[in-house]
Amino acid sequence: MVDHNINLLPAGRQASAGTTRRSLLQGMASLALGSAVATRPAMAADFKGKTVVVAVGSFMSSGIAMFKNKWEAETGGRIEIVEIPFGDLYQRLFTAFTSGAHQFDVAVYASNWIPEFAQAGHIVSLEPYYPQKDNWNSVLPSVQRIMYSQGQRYTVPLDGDVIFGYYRTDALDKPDHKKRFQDKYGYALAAPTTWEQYRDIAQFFTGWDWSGSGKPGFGVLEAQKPKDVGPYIFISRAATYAANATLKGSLFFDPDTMEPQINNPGWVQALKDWIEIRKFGPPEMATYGGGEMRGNFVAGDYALGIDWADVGIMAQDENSSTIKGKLGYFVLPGPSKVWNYRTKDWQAFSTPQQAPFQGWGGWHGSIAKTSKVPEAAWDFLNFIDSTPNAFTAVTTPGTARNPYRVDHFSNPDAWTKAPVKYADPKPYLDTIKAALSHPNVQSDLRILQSGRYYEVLDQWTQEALAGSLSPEAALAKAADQWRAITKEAGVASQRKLYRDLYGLT
Amino acid sequence: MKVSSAKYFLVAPPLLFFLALSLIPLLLTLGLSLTDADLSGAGNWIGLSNYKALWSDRIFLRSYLNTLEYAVIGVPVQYVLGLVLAVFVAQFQHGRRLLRLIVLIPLMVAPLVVGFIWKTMLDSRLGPVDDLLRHLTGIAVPWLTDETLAFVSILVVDTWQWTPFMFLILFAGIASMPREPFEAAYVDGASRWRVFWDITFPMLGPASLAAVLLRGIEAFKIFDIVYYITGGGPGSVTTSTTLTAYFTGLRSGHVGYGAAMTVILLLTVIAFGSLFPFAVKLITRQRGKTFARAVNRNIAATNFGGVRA
Repeated sequence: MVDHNINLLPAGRQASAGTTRRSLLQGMASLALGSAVATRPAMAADFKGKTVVVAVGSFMSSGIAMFKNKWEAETGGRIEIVEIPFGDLYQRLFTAFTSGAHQFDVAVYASNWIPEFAQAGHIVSLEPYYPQKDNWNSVLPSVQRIMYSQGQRYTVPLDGDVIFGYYRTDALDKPDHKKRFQDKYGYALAAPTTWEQYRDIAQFFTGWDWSGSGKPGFGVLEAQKPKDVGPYIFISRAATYAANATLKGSLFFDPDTMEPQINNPGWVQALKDWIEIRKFGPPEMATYGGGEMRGNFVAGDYALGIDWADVGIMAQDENSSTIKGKLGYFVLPGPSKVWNYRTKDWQAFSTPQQAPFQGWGGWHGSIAKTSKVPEAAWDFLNFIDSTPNAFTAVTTPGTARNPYRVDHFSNPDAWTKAPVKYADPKPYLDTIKAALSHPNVQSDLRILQSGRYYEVLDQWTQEALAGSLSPEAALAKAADQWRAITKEAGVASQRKLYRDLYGLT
Repeated sequence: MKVSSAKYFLVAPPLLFFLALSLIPLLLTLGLSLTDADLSGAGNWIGLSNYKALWSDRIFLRSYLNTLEYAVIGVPVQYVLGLVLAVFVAQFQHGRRLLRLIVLIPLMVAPLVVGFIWKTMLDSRLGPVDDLLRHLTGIAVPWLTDETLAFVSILVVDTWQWTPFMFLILFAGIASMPREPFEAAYVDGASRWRVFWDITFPMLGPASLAAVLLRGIEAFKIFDIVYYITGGGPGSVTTSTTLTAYFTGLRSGHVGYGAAMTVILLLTVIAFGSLFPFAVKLITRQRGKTFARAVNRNIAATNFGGVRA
């Protein structure tokens, strides 16, 4: 491990064998800095003449830029925002970090990359700064958990990500539809709690004008375009079949051996479901990425959809949405049997087994190790995550910041008055909170080279979606490549990171 | 001697510029392709392992085959269309500038915008193409989701964007032709087709060669349109080598392996760039002989008062 992870441990733990004089001095300096920061008066700090360069993924930039002027006015400092195309973000951050040259002070990026950047020493531990933060306790535990690497916090959370379901209330709640559905399927029409119900509802609303738009509607809309957000949507389905609540860490790998699980029958079943659901969406669903899915869903004609919290926000914009006030929400359904990787058999449960997936994990901000103005960088991060500013961000359309603090959920009325002017926000907030607080909520894959694992999974699931390979064959090929990536990255280190993710010792 | 030294000194800056911008990155890429480098650039020497792996990499092979098909099918189609347009526009005495401008518009549009326009156009529910087809035939065509049609759609879009490039070069070629051979041919009573086939087309040889060569090289690098319209799908039926290399190298961080893909593509482009002019030369020479034989026969027939020798 790199020095700076060691030297920022509390003083009592610094006197361990192997602590160098340099690291001890650095540790003392860090602690001194931390206490200096902590004892700074509550009034705005003076950063006159200091510039904080913030690197941020493209569509998150407005969630940062909206606070730029205010911070500059209060502190005298200057913020320079470097907007990086979303698809190039990892590569740009990684190459900037590894080159060692100072390119920016703050990086705003996906939480999946925290362990990789932290372990390599590219970002600094924020433990010395956190004592002065007054709203840490209000961050949801499932979001707090993501911020750690080797027991230390490396980020300031800016976003809470979880994938959940949407339904059109004008489709599912209409008495006439309910009656016809009951007659056809033999059970009541309501938000789905199992994947079979999800499929039935999608089938029921496909091919006829249930919305009154004058054209046939579709049962479902999910993003399935290659090289987009497809893997996240697929994993949110697979998690329910493979993340066994009785076996921690069973979603992606066997946590003991790091044998990939992505080709086990649970994942295969999820892929079969995902292929089948295409019949109930528009043909173009295969070419819709996340952005297209959201734009089309809020434009109407789809009874069910799966996405992050963004659809809910976009649906409130009456310029582009026809479904404001017609949205219902549900934690993604679950099956009544989940794969058990230990017994290598399906395990039956009496209730549907949900496993909400924190895909992407949300945007987080970190301070680069090369920063010459870490105090100003911290102050800015703290500023954009202050309780009022965080609320403003999550209730403003287009910021790509979704609720992640307790207070974001506690006052639904405030959402109706906020810039988003959310119509009936309570069910929306309740669903997000229920998903993020679910006992079987699943974190995203936070091990080294997670991007490569995703790339491989995307490639082979697309082959299965296109019908070029069977789901079994496609996932077997993906598993082969996952095995190779794990071997290349180091089985032991990957195993440690993976087990850390689930709190396994 | 002094003059000779000064000559090299004067040539040095552009040469160094070329080395810095072209040769050094090329050599670096070649070097990278022999390593297992990641995004940091750090990697171990693994010899030809990346190249060996490519031959069993189904995704790469599919993307490579697609790229060849884009070039082999797309470029000739674009050439023929460009030629037809060039000959057509060249006939106009008035309004030629306006027509030329209209034909060139697709070339001026950014590829991602082209992708956006066509993705909307070909949407089987919302696009005008299918709307028209539905009214005429009652059938909606899944342009972007059917495996074969998705590939054809990419070809159509590529052709729409790049035919104007062919047109531009061929039109310039036609505009610069001397008038005398045409006047002589028409005086001799040659048909329009004869004039085109025996005069216009052969005289366009150098322009055609340049157009096909430049466009062919460019066609191997197809990226933006595929990326935006299909993302390489369904499955990998529309993916290209550049797209695969980009995602492998820069998104997945498997830089060495991605570099090997680009080297294979480069070798292919070099092979095309070297062999194509050679092939054209051979064909032209053969055609020249045939043409000469035909001319000789005509001359002989003329000399003997229409009686074949």
